[in-house]
This record gives sequence, C-alpha cells and structure tokens, in this order.
Amino acid sequence: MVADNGKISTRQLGRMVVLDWIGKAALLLPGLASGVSGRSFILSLVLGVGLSLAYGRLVGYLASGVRGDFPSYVEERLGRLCARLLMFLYFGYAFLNTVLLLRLFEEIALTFILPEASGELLMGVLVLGAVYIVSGGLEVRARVSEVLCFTALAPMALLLLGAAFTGGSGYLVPGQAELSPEMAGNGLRVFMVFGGMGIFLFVAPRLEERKEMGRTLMRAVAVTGLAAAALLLAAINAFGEAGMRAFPWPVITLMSSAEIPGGFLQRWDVIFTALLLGTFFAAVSAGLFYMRRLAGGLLGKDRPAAGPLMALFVYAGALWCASYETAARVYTVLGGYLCVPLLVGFTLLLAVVECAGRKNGKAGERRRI
Amino acid sequence: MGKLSAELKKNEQAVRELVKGCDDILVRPMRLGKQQGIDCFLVYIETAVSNMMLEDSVIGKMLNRLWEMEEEDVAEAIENNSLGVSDTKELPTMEEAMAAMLAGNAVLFVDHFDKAIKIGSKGYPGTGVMKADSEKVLRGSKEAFSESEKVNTALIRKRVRDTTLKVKETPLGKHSNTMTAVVYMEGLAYQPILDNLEKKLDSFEIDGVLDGGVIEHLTADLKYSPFPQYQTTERPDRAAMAVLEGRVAVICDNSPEALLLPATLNTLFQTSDDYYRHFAIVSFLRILRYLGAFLAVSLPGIYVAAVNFHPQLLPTNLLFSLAEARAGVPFPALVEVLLLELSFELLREAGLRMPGPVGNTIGIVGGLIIGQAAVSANIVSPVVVVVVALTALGSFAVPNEEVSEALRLVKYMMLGLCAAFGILGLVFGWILVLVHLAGLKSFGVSYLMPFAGGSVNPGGESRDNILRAPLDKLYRRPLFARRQNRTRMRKKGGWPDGGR
Repeated sequence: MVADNGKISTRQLGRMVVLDWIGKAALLLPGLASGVSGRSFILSLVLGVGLSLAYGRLVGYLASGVRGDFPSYVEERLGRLCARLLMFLYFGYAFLNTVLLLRLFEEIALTFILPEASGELLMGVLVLGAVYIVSGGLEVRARVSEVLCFTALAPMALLLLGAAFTGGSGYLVPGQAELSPEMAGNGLRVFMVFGGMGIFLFVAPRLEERKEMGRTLMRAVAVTGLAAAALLLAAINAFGEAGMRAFPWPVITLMSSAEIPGGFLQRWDVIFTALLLGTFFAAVSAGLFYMRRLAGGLLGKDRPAAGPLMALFVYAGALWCASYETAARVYTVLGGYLCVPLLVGFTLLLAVVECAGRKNGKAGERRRI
Repeated sequence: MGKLSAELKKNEQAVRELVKGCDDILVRPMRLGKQQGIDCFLVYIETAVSNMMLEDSVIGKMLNRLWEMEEEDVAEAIENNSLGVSDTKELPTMEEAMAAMLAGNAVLFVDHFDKAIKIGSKGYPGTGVMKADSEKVLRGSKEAFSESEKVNTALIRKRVRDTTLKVKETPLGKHSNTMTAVVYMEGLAYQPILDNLEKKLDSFEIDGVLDGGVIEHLTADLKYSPFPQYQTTERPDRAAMAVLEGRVAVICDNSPEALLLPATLNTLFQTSDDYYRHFAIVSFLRILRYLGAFLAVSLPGIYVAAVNFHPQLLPTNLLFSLAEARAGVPFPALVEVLLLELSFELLREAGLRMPGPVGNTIGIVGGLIIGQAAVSANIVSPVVVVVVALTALGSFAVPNEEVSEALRLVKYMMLGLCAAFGILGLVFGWILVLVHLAGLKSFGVSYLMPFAGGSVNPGGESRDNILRAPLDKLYRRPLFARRQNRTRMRKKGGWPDGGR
C-alpha cells in the first residue's frame, strides 16, 4: 500500500529541508546584516545562496550514485576510516546545530512570547515534541513536514506581506553597494546555514526519485534564501539600516508594528513568532533523527531508546551552553568553521571519486561493446 | 451433532435436546402428502417465522402444496425443489440446520430424507429501512441503513447493480453468530486490504458481536488513538459511493451503520451530498467544516492564552470590555472555561440520553437559562459563554461524530497546554496532534492522505479535499482503488481539455 512503501517523495523531502532551515535563516540571517549596509548584505545573501545552490547540485550528483545506504557507499569509495570520520563529523554538526536551535527557541520564546516562563522548561517541551516526531520514523517526519510547511509558512508569508506593505517607512531606496572582503565573509556565513545539507544523503536511499534530490535541495535553498531576503527587505524598509542595528531580532520587531488590513488583532508578532517557533519542532526532530542514525552507524546498532538518549544529550548540551550567545559562539566556531568546511571537503572528494568511477564505468562499458 | 440421519425420530430427538429450555423455539411435528403419510417436523423461532398457514408466506405456500401432493411425489419435490420456492437450501448437518434456524429461517426435517431444508422467512423483527438521522443531507436519498445485514447489503446492491459488487458473509461471535458482510467491488478494492481485513476479523474470538463498533475497535491498527480508523455511515448512498471508489464496506447484523475502510481524515470531513451540489458551495462548506474543527479544538485555549499571556494581541476596545466583563468573576480564566465546558458536556450527555422532546428541552434550558444564570451570578463572564458556544458550534459542523468526539478530547489537552504555555502551547498541541495523525494508518493508507503524500495519485484526492473540483474533473478515483483501475469517468467523445 501507498503508506507502507517506506519511501518519501521529493516534495516531502523539499518541505522537510525548508522547515529545517527556515527558522534559523529567518532569525539569524537578518542579524548578520546589522554590521554592514543592507545592500551589501543582499549581495552577501546572493553569494551565500549561490554557493549553497552549487553545493546542492553537488549533493544531488552524489545522491544519484548512492546505492544502498550512504555510509556503505562512503566506505566503498573512501574506506572504513573515512566513512566513520564523516559520520562523526555529521553527528557533531547535527548536535551543534540542534543545541543552537534549542537555545534560539528559548531566547525567542522568552523574549517575545513567555517572558516569565522557565527557559529550561521551554527547551524541554521542544525536545519532547521533537522526540515524539522522531519516534514515528522518517515517513511520519516527512508527513508532518509536508503539512506543517503549508500550515505554518503560508500564514507567515501572508503576515509578512501585510507587514511589508503597512510597516514601510521609505528607507528602502535604490542605491549602490560596494564589493568588499567583508561581503564575501558574510556570504560564507550565509552558506553556513545551508552547509550541512550533505546530511540529507543519509536519506537518499529512502527517496522515491533519488535523481531529483539535487533539484529538490536547490529549490529548498532558493525558497529559504528568497524568504530570508524578503524578510530582510521588509525589515530594512521599516527600520532602515540604523534601525536594523538597534533591534536584535528585526524580523519579529517588524511583526509587532505590522498592521494587517482588515485584521482583527492589535498585534501579530506573537502569532508570527509562535508559527516560526513551530517550525523548530521539525528542525530539532531532524537533528535528533540524524543523530540517532549516525550514532547507530558509529556504534553498529540502532536501538529505539537511542532517540530519547540523543534528546537528553542535546538537552544537556543546551544546558551546558547556558545561554543563546554561548551556543551561537560554539556553533560558529566548531560547526561553522570546523565541521562545515570539512564536510564540504569530504563531499567534494566523494564527488571526484564518484565522477572518476562513472568515467571508468563508461569506458569499461565501451570496451565491452 | 454432525450429519443428519434419514430417520426422522433421531433428528427430532437431537433437535429437541438442543432446544431444550428455549421456549421461543418451536418444534412442530406434522404430516405431509394427500394421505398425510409422511412424517416431518418444522423447527423455527416463534416470532421470526411467518404464520405457516398464511397463503402469502413462502412456508405456507410450500406446506399447502406438500399437503396436496401424493406421498411418493413429496420426496422428489423436496429434493429437487420442484415447487420452485426461491429461498430454500438443503442442509446436510445439524450445525448448519441449527445455524439456519437461529438466523431466523424455518427448517424442515422430513422422514427418510437425510437433509434438512432451510425455508427463508421474514426473519427477526427489525426496524426496517429508516430515514437518515445523524447524517442528514439537503440533497440526495433520505434512506438509511436498517438493522438487518441482508437489508443493508440489498440497499447497497440497489445502488450498484453489478455482479462485480461482491458480498462475503462471515458469522462472528462465538455465541452471537452475528452475520457480518464484507462488501467491495472486485477489481477495484486492493486485495491486500481485503486479506488484511479477513485476517483481522479472524484474529479474535469473542462471545458476541452486538454492533459494528465491536469490530471497529477490535480490528483498529492503533487502539489507543481517539481518532476513528474506520468511517461509519448510516447512509447506503455513502457506502455505495465508497465501494465505487475501491473502498470496502463492513456491514454487521443488528447494526444500522456500515463501516467503511480505509478511512482518512479527508473522507471523514466529506458528506454524501458533497457530490450532489455545486462545487463552489461544497468547497465553501468544507472550509467551514475544517474551520469548525479548528475552533472546536482551539478556541477555549486561545481565549485562555489571550487572557493569561498575550492581552496585547487583542484590540484595545475589546481588551477593556473583556476586563470589564471579567471584573466580578472570582475564577482564573482556565477554571472559568473548564466550568462552562464541563457544564456543556453534561448538558450534551444528558440531552442525548433523555427521550427526544425532553432532550431538546434540556438543551434549551441548559444553554439559555444556565448560561444566563451563570453570567448573572458572576461565575463566568459573558465572553466565555460565547467562546463555549462557538466551540460547540464548531464541533457540530464536523460531519463525522467520531471525529467530533476525538476533537472534544483534544480540546482539553489544548486547553491545558495553552494555560501553561500560551499561544506556544497551542502550536505545540497542534504539532502533537499532527504527529499523531501522521502516524495513523487505516489499512495501510496514511490518515493524512492527500494532505501528506497526495502527490502519489495526481488528479485523485488532490482535487477532492478541502476544496472540491467540478464533478467532471474528478475522473480519477482516490488511491484506495487499484492503481491500474483509477479512472472512474470517461466523457464520450473526449474531454475538451484532453482529460487533464
């Protein structure tokens, strides 16, 4: 039967990927713009998204060649040690990313929705929800993402549209941006948001149309990049570049001043933030899902208790970080400057080996003919 | 028990032994033939069999003819059914004879004949075909299922006059022997679903199956889920429509409802007149139903979240009037809502159990008088009355009672979460519900189809979910039907748009 085939569709993968990124991108990317001019940052965004699109193409190329599961594929191409190292790096990346998401969730929820609540409790709720999602396996996660992507993002898009047209102060005017080394640095920081996308290779064998994976990832990068750009433009339009520096979370501040035509409510920031934080459940569940799989691969056994254990591990990591700022610093240094470059390097190396393998295969075929 | 004997005395003795103490079962010895030279006896349940002397009953006619025959012709007439009685069957064993008698037929035992004859009769008393009560529609048939499995399968057959409509009967229940029919279209229904159903029906032994609900709960995949994994319907046209989509109907004797499987959330929000009315109206009504379901689950929670955590959401005027209205109420918002919600649940339950007119009165008395009195006594604020009333209206807009009941339970979970985490609790609650629904399957079909995974059957359910496309665009069956047989409509001469 349809629901029992153990596979997910490319549409579901696309939505899972968008949900993994959208919360982080919507909140963190506009923050990167606070140090530079808005126009420069848009160029950085274009650079970062362009790099991510190219990386997505590369990951798609590899996905089309993966036979069986991804760790075995890596082992076959680069040896057992490399395969284990790669899994360890991905595990580390997923862990750091999930810890950051937990702390980001806590920070936003405490600042904008529940100022008197306990941050630890909020993170606990997020982890519990994510564990529940992970317990259903990949198919359940895919279905949840497919529905959540529409039900959370469509109202958010409408709210953004309303905010963009009503909260404008005329700051957004045509001008020029200068190319600078700083812009390239920001571009790389944008790439960091998408840099872990190679992790989706672990679900490539479960994809109905594996060859479409690259296109799906590229589409997801484009959607997330466009959403971030739209949020950024709306925020710059409302607050100007100086205003962007004044607000730590300009996107949410933008929503607090939005007047939705015909809207009944006085303020919309709580609704927007709650919807945005809703996507964190999907993103954190993705982190736990991959951590569980990777830990299973590294230890050689996958047990049902591994899900809650990973959740505890992540929760402990978030508690250890103590604040969002620490989590962000740890993520930037270990995740962004260490894991992402190494993972991209590994992916490039695998692509080269895969390409050589395919060429040899074709040459062998020609010789046989 | 075992094979029947050719000696009538032995059979009669065995039958009398079996029905000893059953005063409602009659054993009537009689003689057949012109000279009344052949001994026989008839065994039947008193109220289930027509008066055998009546000319217009099958048994009466048959016995009258047998009384008029020569003795030597009687055996031949019975053996070859030369009387042309439509509903007779030879039963070679005592078990079959007893089962036929307990099913409401008369069973005739004749001397020197080692088989019993089942003679169909009016059967057990039942309610007959009624008017649909819980699934009322504006357009379409008003017929509802009766409490007889035979009548119910006939009501479906009346609508699907095709021999590919198959009806497989199985007795269920060790003592109740309730006849259960599995109705499906051959070539449309997936064989694995039928096999799975058969396996599940065979997987339990129970004293009695007194309603389809017993089958539903014994064979559900996820027993702890409050959401129904079968669709129940009291409408034969709904069941016929489902069968034509490749779904399977299970009809249980003594139950005025059919169980339809597989069920998805989408099918549970559809009604049969959705297909008899204009698509724009239907789409609008479906949006209203989903909105109703959202309100039924979320509204009390939203109220508590807004009052306790996010008053800044509300327009200033409303906020002032809300504060004014709540000024004299001694309870926190959560208690206030819970008090009124539970009172409403009590009213609903009381109204349901009371006889018809009294039940209605209780609803009016409860709704108007108790609500008004509670507001006057400052127990609850008027806004809460509006919130609870809207919540109830929302749940009534859901066309499936089982879904509505499940949503009632979810509402309390949502209320608790909103009381703890404000609007974030609402999001968290909905995510929990979504994950639960995403994990639910009804006979291998995802419960969230086509909202999730709908891309596997383009042109099918995707045109018939929250919005319904015009009828001529619904030419593909949903994915319940076999993949190679999903076209349900062809326009003679081709479609103007090429059938896209």
